[in-house]
Amino acid sequence: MIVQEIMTTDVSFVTADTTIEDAVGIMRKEKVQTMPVVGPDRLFVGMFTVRLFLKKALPGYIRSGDLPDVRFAPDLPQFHETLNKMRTAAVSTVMDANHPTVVAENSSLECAALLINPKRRIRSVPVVDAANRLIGLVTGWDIIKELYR
Amino acid sequence: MNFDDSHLIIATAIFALTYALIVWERFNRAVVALSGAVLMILLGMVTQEAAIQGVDFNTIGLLVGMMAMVTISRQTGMFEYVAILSAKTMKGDPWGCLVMLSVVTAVFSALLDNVTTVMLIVPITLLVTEELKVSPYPFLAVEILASNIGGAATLIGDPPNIMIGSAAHLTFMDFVINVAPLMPFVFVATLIPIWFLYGKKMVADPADQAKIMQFNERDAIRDVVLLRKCLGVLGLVGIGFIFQHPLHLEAATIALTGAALLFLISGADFHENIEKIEWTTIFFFIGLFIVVAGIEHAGLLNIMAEWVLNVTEGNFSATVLMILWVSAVLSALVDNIPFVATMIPMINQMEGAFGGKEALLPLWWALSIGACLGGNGSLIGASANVIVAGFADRAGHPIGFIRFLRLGFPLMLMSIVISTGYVYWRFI
Repeated sequence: MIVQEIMTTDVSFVTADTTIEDAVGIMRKEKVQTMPVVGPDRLFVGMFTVRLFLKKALPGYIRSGDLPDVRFAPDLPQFHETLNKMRTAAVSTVMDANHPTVVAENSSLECAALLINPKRRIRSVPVVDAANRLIGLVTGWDIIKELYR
Repeated sequence: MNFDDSHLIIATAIFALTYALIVWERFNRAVVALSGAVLMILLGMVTQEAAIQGVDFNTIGLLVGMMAMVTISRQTGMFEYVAILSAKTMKGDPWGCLVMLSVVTAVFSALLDNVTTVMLIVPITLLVTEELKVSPYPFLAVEILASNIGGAATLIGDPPNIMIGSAAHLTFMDFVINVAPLMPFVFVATLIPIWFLYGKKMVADPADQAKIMQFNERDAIRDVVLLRKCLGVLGLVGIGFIFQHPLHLEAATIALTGAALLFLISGADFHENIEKIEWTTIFFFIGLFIVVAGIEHAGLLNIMAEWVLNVTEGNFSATVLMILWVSAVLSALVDNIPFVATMIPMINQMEGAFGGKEALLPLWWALSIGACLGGNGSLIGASANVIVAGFADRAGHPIGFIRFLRLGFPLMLMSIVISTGYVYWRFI
């Protein structure tokens, strides 16, 4: 099965200068945790995710994994202050600019391999054309839903 | 030029090149040391058999054994438990927290290893300083100093001591009796200027101090059963080190027995834990031992030993103090591991001049104290320093080479002045 057959083509996206607050608003409405970021002519430039947003707001020693378990500590007001301050920043300051993409002719196997790669920790794979324009999106659900159709 | 001269020149060139590349830090230091070792063998400076004989497997075994035990033990959360408890003991007072966290760093560095200690204490320190809204710099700087002072106190605390202890057949208790008594003085003397520079200006809001008291150290313990097993094995290993001499056991045997026992009774995944051992450090040691064997065979160390004896005119006290000071200053500027690896066979060459192995003991203590405390002189002086600097960078509070040099180098010199008095009083 190839990407063309399973991808979702009705994809929401934001531009790089969209504020985090606006992007999160769209994501809440659509109940998604990832949002493709595009430039002029719908060129794919990166992926904004809730996980990256949280990661950016966490203190460096937690973000880096140096202190992976903080159940012993009370809440840290600075974390919430940073989250709040970042609302007006552009999504481009948080997005993953090296997010992997696939083309419509790639296999669903490749998408599945990208989605389970523990080093990348991605939740969806953007589909682009030869000019790197965003044309769709593939999630894990898109891959397995064929089984139950 | 005869055969011996060309041998000496080639071996010296390989040695100098290896050293230069280690200092340059452009390439991985283990790769540099192993490349130097291979060159020594390929160019006939030392045979493969002699190269393998040059590797001190007691040092390697002790390092691997301790690293394996610490890798398993750190998963219990016991380091975090002690660190949190120490901060709470001082009721969140910033200076009190700084002192207690540095005491914990020093004690763990002495009993385990200082690199792992700072890797576990520094993130907690950053969290504590963030809750208190105080600058983390004095805390991190003092933890660097404490890790090297604590590590200097015992056989297993710092790699130079492991190497010296193994080469000179010195036991854990030899270090406890001869070196450890100096370290509390050095530690307290180090804290005094830190108090005047930073401590007396440190203030925290009572509301923020109250947040430290909300930390629940019991929640830091992630696996109580594993904790009991780790404490049991570490206790047995400690007893093994204390009775090392009457038991006629090498330090590596004790550490590796402890590691094997802990793997057996804890059910810890071998592959997962063995991957976490610092293999770069282990192969760095192996490469260095062979490079040093190369210059030893070529006769360079003999020439260097004669040069030192000429400079000091064969005066024993002058030689001891020269080794102390040169070790300290050079260890601040370059990695102390290759320096100590070179100094060990060089000191052995002086056996004849000073009348036997027993007479060399003060030289070993001078080398140990100088090389370990010298690590406090700069941000690259010891592995623990580099680790703390990395944490500070990632946390957005960079320490800065010059900033630390201004603090660390004078404090290191002060510690060597104190050590000079101690060495003179105890050993000369």
